[in-house]
Amino acid sequence: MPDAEAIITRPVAVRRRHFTAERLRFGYSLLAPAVVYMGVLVGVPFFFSLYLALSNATVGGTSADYVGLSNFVAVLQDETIRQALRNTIVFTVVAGIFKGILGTLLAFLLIQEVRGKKLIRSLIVIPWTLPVAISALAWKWMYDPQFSAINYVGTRLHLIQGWPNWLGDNFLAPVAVISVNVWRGFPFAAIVLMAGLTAVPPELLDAGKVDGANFLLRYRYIVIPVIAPILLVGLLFDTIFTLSDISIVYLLTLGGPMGATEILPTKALEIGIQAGALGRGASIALMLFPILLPVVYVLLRSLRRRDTA
Amino acid sequence: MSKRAVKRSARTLTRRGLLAAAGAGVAGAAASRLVAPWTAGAAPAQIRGSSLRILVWSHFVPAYDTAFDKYANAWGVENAVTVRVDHIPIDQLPARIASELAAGAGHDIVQHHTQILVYQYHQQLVDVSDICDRLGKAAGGFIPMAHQVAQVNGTWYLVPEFYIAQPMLWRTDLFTQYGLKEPSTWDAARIAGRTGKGKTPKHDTGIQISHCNDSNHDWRAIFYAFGVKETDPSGKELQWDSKELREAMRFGKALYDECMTPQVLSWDNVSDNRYLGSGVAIWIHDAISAFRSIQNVNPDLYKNIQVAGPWIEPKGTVDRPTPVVDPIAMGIWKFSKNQAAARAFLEKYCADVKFSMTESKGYNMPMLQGWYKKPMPVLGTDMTVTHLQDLGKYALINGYPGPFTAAAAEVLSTFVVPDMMTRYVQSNDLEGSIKWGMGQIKSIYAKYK
Repeated sequence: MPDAEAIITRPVAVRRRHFTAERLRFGYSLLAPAVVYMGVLVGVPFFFSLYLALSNATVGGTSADYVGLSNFVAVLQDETIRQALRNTIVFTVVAGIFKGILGTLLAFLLIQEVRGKKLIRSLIVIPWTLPVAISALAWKWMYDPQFSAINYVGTRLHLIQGWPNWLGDNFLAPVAVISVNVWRGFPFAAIVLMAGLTAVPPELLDAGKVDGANFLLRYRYIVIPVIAPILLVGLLFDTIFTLSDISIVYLLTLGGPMGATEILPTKALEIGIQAGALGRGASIALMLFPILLPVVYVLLRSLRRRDTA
Repeated sequence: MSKRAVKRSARTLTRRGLLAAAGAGVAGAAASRLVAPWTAGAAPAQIRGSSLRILVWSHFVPAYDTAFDKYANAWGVENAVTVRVDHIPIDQLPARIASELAAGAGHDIVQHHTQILVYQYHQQLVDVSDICDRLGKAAGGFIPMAHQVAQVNGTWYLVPEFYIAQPMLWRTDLFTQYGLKEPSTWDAARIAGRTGKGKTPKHDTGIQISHCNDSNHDWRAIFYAFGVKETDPSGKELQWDSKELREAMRFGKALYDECMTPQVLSWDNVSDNRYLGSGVAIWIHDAISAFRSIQNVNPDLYKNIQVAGPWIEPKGTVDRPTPVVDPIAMGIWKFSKNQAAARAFLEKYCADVKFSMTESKGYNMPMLQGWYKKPMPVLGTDMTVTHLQDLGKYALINGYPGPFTAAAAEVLSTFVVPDMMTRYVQSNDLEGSIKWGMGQIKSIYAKYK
């Protein structure tokens, strides 16, 4: 191998520099597709949104003047947008809690050794795999004020009194919307958790049992620390998906009644696209950013610390 | 150029500047081909061998989509133009229009529907005044509403295509059975609803008080009937806050309490269609698709439904009908590479009102005055819808009596009027609800000053 010989015979400093430059080139060339992908699909839209949010751009305008933070001030002064912001946070937190609880329960059920396990697992994930438009329209029919299947069955089983107007009541409408999000999302949580649970070494659990730890203690002190990285990544994904989910609200209530289910994405659509005020629409959409940023930072830092430890 | 002007120009951020510069040559070349005028239907020879892309909604009368596709393709074959028509749901049109403009690419002809943002888009649309002038000259001009939909400062940027009437659809059998007067006034409609609600089985009614388009225009029809004006005729000065608004809202609350199902608080655009189709509603206020959809599935019910009456629209305190309609118009993007073909097609198609009315079974109402000569296609021979023949001169759009400005569009898209009504029917606080609504409307208009 003459090349290797040539390298070996070079002085050490030159050899090191050569290795470093080559390795850097190689490393960056491997990273390049991911960086370009992120830059084009995430960076460009983000900075374009930022540009729109700082301007008075409209859908049909040829130019836009820089207006500083006035769009953000205007949207924060709007009571209906503050309500949408509150709803967005409540929607994400409440749905997240329920998806976590139901997902955990389902994950424990799914790891049990039963006949037809694979079939059961396939059926369970159907809500998550169905296109959101189809599932949301199916739920719309179930919540229909005149023909609601839930009311029909519920009243006959004496579980429901009267004829609730699921999508027309200020309290029930957010409950209905969150329920559909939980129904769609908890199979995803279950799959993520199930993947983690199968990675927990059985000998650790056995050792816990020998030491007298009950199920809850084993879950708290053995399972959670082991699956924490997966849990955190799953939580991160779910938070982002839920915060930016426009489909369910758009298809079920369009933000009604009286803004009770209005969230930032629907508000951004109404003002930015339907009314044509792109600048303000972008600033509403970007209101999610300062909410998401600390969440992402805390979750990723926690993940990194665990990796380091 | 003064220092001040330079400063301002430096502060201005140009969008799609590069595209505009690149497209200028194309636009110039296209414009140069438009010098020779042509009569409706006779396309210029230069368009032969070109292609044309058209974006329209998925029509509420599905057969119309098939007919329109055939029509466009036949025109394409006749003129050696490859025509492609794309249909998308009505709700997706605003986002699609905005994204096409942002990308500077897409269809040549785009249909603008209901919430027509001509004031926002006109700088990006081809001036079609010559087409509209010829269409108008040949058919007695456009109805007054069409000017508000498609013009900015007297220039036509869209070609008015048709509008969707939202009349009273009422059950003649129940009205006769209960000895009720025709719903020629909103008071008569209220008495009918109250009477029907008191019967067993009940036959109440409903108008959406929710986040949907029907709620926006139906409540405006009632408000306008009681003399409410959104702005002055220029569209700049707000006139919402008035004693007429209070009277209209009191009436609306009474209508809700006495005649309606509380389900209206979650109704969408087709819930009232279903309510009529289920045989419950004594009347609804909606497009005629609501009763056309019953035609085949429930002929007995269908024959007992009448659309409007000689009075056209129930009257309130104002001595004229105030029907609020959904307008539709078509425009050509400036970035279109085949403006000549687009113009030729639009002129041919928008003049062919008979095709539009016949194939849509009377759903598409003409924008051209000349087509209101009786008997009109479909409407003149079908006694159920015959009274719509007098609708044209009264048709109003959101924003009345002003044009549908960007501010009026935002009031509409953020559902301020339905939310104001919801607050009132739930809280019984008239002044509080109006104060909230006026606060929202004033704040929106202030952003456009």
